[in-house]
Amino acid sequence: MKNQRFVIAAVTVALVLGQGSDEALALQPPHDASNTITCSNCHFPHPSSSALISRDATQDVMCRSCHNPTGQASTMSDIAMHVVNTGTTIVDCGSCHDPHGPQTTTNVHPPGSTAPNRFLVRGNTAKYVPAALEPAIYQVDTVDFAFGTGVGAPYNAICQTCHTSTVHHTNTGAPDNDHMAGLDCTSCHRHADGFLPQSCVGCHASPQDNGDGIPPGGRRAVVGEFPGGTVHAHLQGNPVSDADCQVCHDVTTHQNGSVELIDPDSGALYTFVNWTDLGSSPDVSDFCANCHDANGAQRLATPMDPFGGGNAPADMKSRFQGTVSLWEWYGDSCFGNEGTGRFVNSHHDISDADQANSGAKLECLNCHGAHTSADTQKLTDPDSPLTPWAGTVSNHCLACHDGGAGPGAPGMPTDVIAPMIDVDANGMPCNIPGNTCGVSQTNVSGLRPLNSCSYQNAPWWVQYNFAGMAHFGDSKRGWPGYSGAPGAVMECTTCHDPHGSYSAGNPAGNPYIIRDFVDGSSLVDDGDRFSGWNGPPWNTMGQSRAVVLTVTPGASPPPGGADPYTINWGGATGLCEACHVNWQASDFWHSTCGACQTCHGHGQVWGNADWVGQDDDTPCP
Amino acid sequence: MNPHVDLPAKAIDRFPAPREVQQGTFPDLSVRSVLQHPTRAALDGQGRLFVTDAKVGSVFVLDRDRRVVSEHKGLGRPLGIAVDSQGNIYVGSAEHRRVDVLDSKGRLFRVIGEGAIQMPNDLALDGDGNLYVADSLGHTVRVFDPSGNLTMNIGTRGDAPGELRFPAAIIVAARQDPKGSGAVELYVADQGNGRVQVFDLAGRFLRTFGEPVEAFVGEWRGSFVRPQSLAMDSQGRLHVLDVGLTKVQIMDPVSGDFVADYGTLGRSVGQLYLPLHIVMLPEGQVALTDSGNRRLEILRIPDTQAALGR
Repeated sequence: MKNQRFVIAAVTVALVLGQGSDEALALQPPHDASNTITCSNCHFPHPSSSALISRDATQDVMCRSCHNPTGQASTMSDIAMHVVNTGTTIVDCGSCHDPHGPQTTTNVHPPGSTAPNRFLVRGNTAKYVPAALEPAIYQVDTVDFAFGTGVGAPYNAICQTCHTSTVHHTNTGAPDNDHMAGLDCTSCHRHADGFLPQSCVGCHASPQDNGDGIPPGGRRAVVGEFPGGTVHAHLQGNPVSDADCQVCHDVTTHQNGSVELIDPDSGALYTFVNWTDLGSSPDVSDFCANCHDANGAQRLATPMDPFGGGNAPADMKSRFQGTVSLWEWYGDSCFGNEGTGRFVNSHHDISDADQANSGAKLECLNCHGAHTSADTQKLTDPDSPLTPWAGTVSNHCLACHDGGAGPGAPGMPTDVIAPMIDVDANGMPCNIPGNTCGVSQTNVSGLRPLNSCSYQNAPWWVQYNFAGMAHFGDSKRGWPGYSGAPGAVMECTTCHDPHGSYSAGNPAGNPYIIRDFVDGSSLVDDGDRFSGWNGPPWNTMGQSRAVVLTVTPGASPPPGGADPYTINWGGATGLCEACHVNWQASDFWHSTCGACQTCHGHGQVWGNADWVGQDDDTPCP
Repeated sequence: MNPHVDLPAKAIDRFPAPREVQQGTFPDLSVRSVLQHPTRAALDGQGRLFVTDAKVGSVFVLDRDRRVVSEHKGLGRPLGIAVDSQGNIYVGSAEHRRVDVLDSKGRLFRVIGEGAIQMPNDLALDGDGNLYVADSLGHTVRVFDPSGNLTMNIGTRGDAPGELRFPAAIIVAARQDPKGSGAVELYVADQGNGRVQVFDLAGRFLRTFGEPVEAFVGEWRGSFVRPQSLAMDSQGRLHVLDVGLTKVQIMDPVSGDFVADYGTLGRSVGQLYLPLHIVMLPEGQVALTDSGNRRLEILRIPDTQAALGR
């Protein structure tokens, strides 16, 4: 039965291939009966089918079904396929090896001799890789054959038949051709690793660009991206090592030009090629969050100490758990209702679900550098992601929250997409009173600037000068009569947590990511500068306390007329009274008000004009 | 023959390369072990999974939650593995061509078959404590008594019924037939001959099924390219993992009839790339050593009864 199958197979293969060459059909050791191999093990002899072996992964699996530790060719099992150009160029087993070839070759350098070819390295490499140089000329080495070492030129053995454009491929010793001269390529680029270089930090200590466009811009000098000393947020005092790299990165297919992150919990892979990929996919924030959660990196045996430096991942994931689903719609006593008419989140739109809701795109790496962040500066420049942020935290926020040039041109940093809002033909948001937009409505990318919520007041995108308000620099503290005012300069993050406002006691969070705990301990109230009034409005200055903003949903979404929801900013658990508990009794005007935000927004909080109606803009919630 | 059914197996979990384990100290992260090439696996009575990695040279022990709880290192190229009721671990050593026996702490205390075994590819234990070794390059199954004495070789090199050519895997399993005899039999994945052969525990040939089929095209159901590993599920159905097909075929262990199949080639969760071993887990799950993806793949066994309308 088997003999009959063998004869049929051999004859049919000859017919289908049409080559008529005994050499092409011959079964030679080791791929012959000595290892129970027949034609039909690799070729299907039916005339209606191709007799050729499948390419790529299918061929890889077929070869490795024997060439694995449990297979018949277990002694030659340290192999992995050479994935090239993200798989668009197929370099499979047969590209370099001829399973029909003999285990000796006359194709050596210098010519006129024979050499062992135990690994059946192919001489006609251009058969499957058209651009390859051929023939591959094998150097006589001390053992079997070489991959390009030895004396004399040319040095185009099997690796160099394709790697002709790299600056170091020939190892001639000349400048740019001296990469590891004297070593076999496979001494560093092992077949078992798919020819991936063994050392992460060895290659990534310096840049290299061979001009093939993979990756764009060439190889990065990643080692230098990590700040020196003991200040890195991840490594905590250890020089970056290969093992550190592989805590976050999987290198199985790195040779194809992609960079893969390995999920700290599940081991799933996040594949991307370059930084610009972060604007589309994959969702790298999931990768970050799965380590920066309550249980760390579950893939590791020491999940709360992934780098071995004692630096536990801070739990950020829980901050993103809750959200609120309220139409962003607010009003004031002077200008009426306004808003963008969208659901708001109680955190930045990191998750895919939030991004689907808002149309925004933001990832952890837009603000933090996985390589560049230091303990002393965890922020990175959103427009230059490999550069640590050099400004204030508030100005970092303004990189996005300055309004840009208005809806449609919000001036977002690299790969950040602002939430989508509906505007009319003049670029004004649709959800302002009396502006229904109609057919001229357009959905554009936009983000409200922090200084102004009043979209109808052109130019609404004018960036506010934060140096002019009390919660930042240049407050009234320098004015005559106010010498005793608080000396602290606050940042956006004093009141807002950019990671979100979820807490166990307030699982829905709140709009505008107000912190659930405000640390005012450093904000010192040092005097009574309202003698004859009702005492200082901030008589809790210097204290810290939890903040829970109560939100009262409205009856209908906008533009329904009335403010559809109410946030209690100044109540007993509100934000403002964390410091200004005595605000309502402090003066006449306050005694008639119900909420701080009715008159005081970002632009009016004890600045040059501290309430609505003065020179600054209208209040924001 | 039963109508065949292609059933997608549902991936319920995957366990990629653990970067480190909880045993020992690791002064340098670069020496921490990585599950690079999960090879064979065995389940102990406590539900723990023991996985050999022929490239790391270790046995990884995973608890019921499939967390790595320990690693037994320095085993060369470990292949087949089995665990007895005392917690002793039997490891086939390709490097030393023998079976190493480790205690539950991973300490080597006995070797079996040195000088007799060429390639201890897969191991199995019967209820009497006899050890069965699929000696692939010896083209036979060697049987050792509980004292480690070679008592029998089952099969010799050849392609006739009862003969073997590169037996890659074995299991000792009770056959659930309608008579309820519960006969315990030895199933051998006769890889070189592309078939499964069945013997009684005295080494007598009983039956064979399947035949070799070409790798890529043609009707493969009920036939094999590279039968690589065997397992018997709780319903008495034989699961045959074929590394050449990248599929598991569910078969009637008596008639050899094809019932269903699962497994697809790929890198995604639930897919397989060069799977080398299959182990039955409780609650209708199987674990596969997915060597090309460097992970264990935990799949839920397809409900063939429902799919077949039974």
